[in-house]
Amino acid sequence: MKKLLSLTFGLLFLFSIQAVPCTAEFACADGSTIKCTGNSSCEAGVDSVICTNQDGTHSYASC
Amino acid sequence: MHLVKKLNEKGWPSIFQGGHLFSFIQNWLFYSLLFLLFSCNDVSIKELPTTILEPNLVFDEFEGPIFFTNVQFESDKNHIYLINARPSMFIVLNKKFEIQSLVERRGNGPDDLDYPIQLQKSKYGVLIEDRGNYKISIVSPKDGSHIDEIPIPESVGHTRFFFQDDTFYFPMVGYKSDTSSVLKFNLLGEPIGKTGLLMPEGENAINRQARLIQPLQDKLVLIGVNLPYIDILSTGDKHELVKRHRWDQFEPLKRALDSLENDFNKPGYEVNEREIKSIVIDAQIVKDRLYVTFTDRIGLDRSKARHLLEFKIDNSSLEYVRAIRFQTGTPDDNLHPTAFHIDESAKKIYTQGLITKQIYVFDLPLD
Repeated sequence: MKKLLSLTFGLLFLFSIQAVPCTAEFACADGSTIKCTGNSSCEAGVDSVICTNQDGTHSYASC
Repeated sequence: MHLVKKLNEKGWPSIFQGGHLFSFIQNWLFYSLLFLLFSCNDVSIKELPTTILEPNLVFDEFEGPIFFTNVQFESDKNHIYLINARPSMFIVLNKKFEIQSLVERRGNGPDDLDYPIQLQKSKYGVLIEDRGNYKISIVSPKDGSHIDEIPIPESVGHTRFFFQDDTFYFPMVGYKSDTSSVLKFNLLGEPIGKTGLLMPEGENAINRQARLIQPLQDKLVLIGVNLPYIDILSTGDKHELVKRHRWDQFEPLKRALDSLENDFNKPGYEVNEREIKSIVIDAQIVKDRLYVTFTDRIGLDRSKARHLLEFKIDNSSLEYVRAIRFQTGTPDDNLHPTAFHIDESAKKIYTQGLITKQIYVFDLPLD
């Protein structure tokens, strides 16, 4: 029973640290594209994209 | 030696005997020096216990219901001013977050907004950076009615602008900026110069000159977003360097910078020419205090991630006051807030969570 419980909580923990990957992409006026990939937050603005990963890394790109 | 002999008779350890005494003193001195050396190194990187704040108020909508996505805050003695990027809105709230006035007009007409991303109250009205129309919209702080508009003359970055003495200071786009990282333009939207000094960076560095701009009394403060410098410049036509502080003498910023440098130096690291990796996300100076939100790169266990750092800043020194963690019990606790504002008159901190997009109100810790 204990083993089953610890396995369940272990799996729950593993799943809890997984984050869904996301991508933000934007087509610039000059025909180029800007893009970033994160796993916590991806947002495309009017000329920029901002992405944040679960480990805290954060990046920004603009046309 | 007489004393040592006497002590030895009483059963002291053998290191005190004969020639061992000299080597004991030698070793003691060596290890003491070593200890002092490491102690000195520890002192140079300052770390403080974390102050944990829990919110007094939480909003996922305003009465109406009015929903928001990405907001930014501004405040004065009686009101809070808020913009929302999409749908494009300007909202005047009282200090209880009750709506006093709301403008929601998306478009490209003179009194329209299209993706507003920043705002600052001035004697001319509330200045709103309208990113979709690439202009500054000036609106009434009472009801949001249109007053005027100013074109933004060149490509600028996304971080906070600053307006003082009829001059706009805008950070340049990181990958286009070099030694002059700040664009200045007047009320007619005419460029009147650029300023900023090169922040030292390593060989093959790319996109490292992006900065945040804030005022400090009659000075201009430029904060590196991924280089560890805080430049204080004089104002006027010539912006001379008054002082260069370093933010990497404080944890957790030092660790974040080391982690970022490690990423840059990884074999096979793919350079994206338009990407700016940031540590410092946003900054606000209130009187002699500098507040910065940042990415706490402590790994995947985010239960102790910090979100806001407070420093005491002047022309000669930068003093670490406190590290703050916003504890809301939501996934927002894992990452930096997407927006923050210090309301000086209400002694509050307003933030918006990165994940839930909820707005939180915290008490501002005071000395």
